[in-house]
Amino acid sequence: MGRAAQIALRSLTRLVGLHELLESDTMEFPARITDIQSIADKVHDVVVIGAGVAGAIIAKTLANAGKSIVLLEAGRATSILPERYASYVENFHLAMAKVPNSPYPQNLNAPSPSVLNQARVRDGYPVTTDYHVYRGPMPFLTDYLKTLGGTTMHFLGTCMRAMPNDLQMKDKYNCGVNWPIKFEALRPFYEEAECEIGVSADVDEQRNEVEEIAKAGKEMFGDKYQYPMMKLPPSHLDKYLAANLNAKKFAIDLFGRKYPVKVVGTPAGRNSMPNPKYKDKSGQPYRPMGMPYDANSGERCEGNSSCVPICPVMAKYNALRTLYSLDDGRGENLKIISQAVASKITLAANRKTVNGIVCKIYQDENNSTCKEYTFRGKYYVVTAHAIETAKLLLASDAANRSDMVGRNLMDHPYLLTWGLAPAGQRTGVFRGPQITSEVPLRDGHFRSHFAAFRADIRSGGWDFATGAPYLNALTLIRGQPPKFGADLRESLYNEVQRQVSFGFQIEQLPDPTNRVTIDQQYMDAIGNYRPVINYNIDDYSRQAMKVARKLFKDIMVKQLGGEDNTEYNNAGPGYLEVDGETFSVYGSGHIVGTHRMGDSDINSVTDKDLRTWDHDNLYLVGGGSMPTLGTANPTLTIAALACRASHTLLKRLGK
Amino acid sequence: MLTELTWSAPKDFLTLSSALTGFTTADLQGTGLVDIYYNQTLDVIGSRITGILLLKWSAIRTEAGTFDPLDAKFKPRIQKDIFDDPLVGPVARNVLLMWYTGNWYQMPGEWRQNYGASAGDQPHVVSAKAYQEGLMWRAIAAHPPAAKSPGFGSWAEPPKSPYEV
Repeated sequence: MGRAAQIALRSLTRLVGLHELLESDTMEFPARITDIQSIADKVHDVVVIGAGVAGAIIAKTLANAGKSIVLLEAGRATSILPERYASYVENFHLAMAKVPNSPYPQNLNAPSPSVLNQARVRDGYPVTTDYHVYRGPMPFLTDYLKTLGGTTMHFLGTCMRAMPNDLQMKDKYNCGVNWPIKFEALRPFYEEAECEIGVSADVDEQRNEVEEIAKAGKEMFGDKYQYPMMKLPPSHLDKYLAANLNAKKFAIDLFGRKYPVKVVGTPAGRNSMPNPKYKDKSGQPYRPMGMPYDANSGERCEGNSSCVPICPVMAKYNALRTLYSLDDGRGENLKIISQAVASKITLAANRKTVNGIVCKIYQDENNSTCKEYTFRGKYYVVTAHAIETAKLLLASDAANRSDMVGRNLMDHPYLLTWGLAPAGQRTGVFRGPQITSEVPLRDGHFRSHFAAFRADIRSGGWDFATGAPYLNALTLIRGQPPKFGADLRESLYNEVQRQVSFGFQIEQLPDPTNRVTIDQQYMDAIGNYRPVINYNIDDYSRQAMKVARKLFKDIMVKQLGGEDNTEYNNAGPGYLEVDGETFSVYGSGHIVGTHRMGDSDINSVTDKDLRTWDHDNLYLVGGGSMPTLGTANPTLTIAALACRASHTLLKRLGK
Repeated sequence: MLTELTWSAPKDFLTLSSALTGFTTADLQGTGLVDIYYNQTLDVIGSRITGILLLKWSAIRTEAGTFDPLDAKFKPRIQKDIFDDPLVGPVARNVLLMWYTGNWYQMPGEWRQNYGASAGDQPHVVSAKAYQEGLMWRAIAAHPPAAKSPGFGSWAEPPKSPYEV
């Protein structure tokens, strides 16, 4: 057996109870049932529901500390086996619409929403073509993924911290709410999460940037902190933009204050060179992890340019890597059960504690036959995704004394803008990580008036905006007269090599009417509720779109001497108007707010330790815990909250 | 009127593909897709219409007296005899699109109306290999996402010139 196979086998044997293995040639289905029944017969220390980034971190941390953990995952564990992971890459190759969920087969018993099934809500009729039901006024424009590893399987990899003022929006800008904790309570857990995920960034660049805009450099990073890996090399396009923005001190004037507009590296959970200055908590240098079963792949980003929806070499973090890196000898502590859909949280008669999680376990994702099991623990942690966690609580009539469960749903509306650099300029697009740098406008007094944002500098040119380079090829070849031969090659090169596109991620404020509910009219194949979503984007976010739109135009035309080619289609699901001007947005998959933490059981679902106000042994951890969204992609904050919750649980369980 | 394919048809398909794409016959053979694309065209378009396309191309070459498909002197004749022809013009466009993208796109509605729509004429990625070998990625000095990764840090370099890739 080769070294890679040995590594694979060693990793896999840690995952006791894994369906995929039990379904393999060597084991029969009845063996699985016996195994699951024996797990259900015991009371474990902690039952964790959902094997995404939060669930994986909590399960691993507690299992490493010697606690007995059951980790339940609604989706399949297909991706844990090397050849199956490769089949996902092939699915991506074969998909005409290369959307975030394109590598991952739909699962009728644990469905995921799809951006291909979303449509405008017209005349008040709900859109029911997706797994979600959209009641409007807008559809919720995003997706997530139910599978072992969760949505980290298709996430971009961006891993930036929230900014201190994001946690104090009410105090600082008189909008939104405050978090029940200050940034300093999160900082050590951000450091832990950055080690767990493996984040590449230059701390001096990050610190200087937040110092300049918010005087928060030291508060966010301290004096001595180092990221585990060096910053990823900025793309050719990043450097071209920096030469025209940073070097020329370009700035934007907002309410009488100038804000620098510049290119800054984006921290990423993507392997770069290890940082020689970094030492982990035990004083060890950082060793990147790539493909767990192929020591020769993925320890550096190889430039596959497909971060979303799949990194073929796992150089981008996904939560499988957290499961694979369980300490030697701790495998028996962690029982992972996939294809186990949590359907109900059961409460003790006095409703003060949870006494079980009822799961429907299926064998085949296309066959709704399933068997119910109840899993029991001293503590229960729901890490099932902001929307699914809320849905499970509503279906169980649990944790909702505040009536805040499912409310305050937020995402970053994603506003694309696109233009062309001047003729003769080559932007070098369609190579490397999809984002290496950004243009941030993340904090400042303008937040009293409109939303903060960050602009992704898209390495894929107009891919998301127009469907480049496919659309360029189609237009040239089907044009009249068509381009062909050398003329086609050169025209295509010259068109695509001038492309510049920004994706503005715009902050959204908590609004209790943006919410997830359940309705008996809308059930899935195995009799669980489908989420029903009311969603809108308010004027606070819409006004920022106007600013973003103008900023991009100024960059393209004034700073670069090129063209702004942005034009919004008023037929898409993300169509909206701002003061009579048409825009069209997408979602970002940054779904938060639905079971927020807070200071009081009147307006929040959990306390600051993420324990539900209503049930002493029930914790909720994930994007749903976040009272505000800010401008950071939430994965790192979710991971930090999971690290923090692990410590809380360890304290309560006792060493 | 040709109704059956001659023994030279696969070779004519290769040289026509070279003239249309702007890539040499060696480039195209290097993709391993010549036979697959030829058969894909036959499957969807049928041998009669494919034969007419190849016959027209063969006539252009014979008349021009040169055998290098990339010779610029073919250009006006390809435009006039092939692309301007309502029967074979859209077929040539689809073959060219397939080489560039790896996708078979559905024939235009008017063409399907006039000349028939076969069951195979559905938009699809011809194969994972076809996706990876899409010539458009080479034409733009890039690579197909999730394949042929150019290596750590390569994205920081200026892009190559059109014919360097």
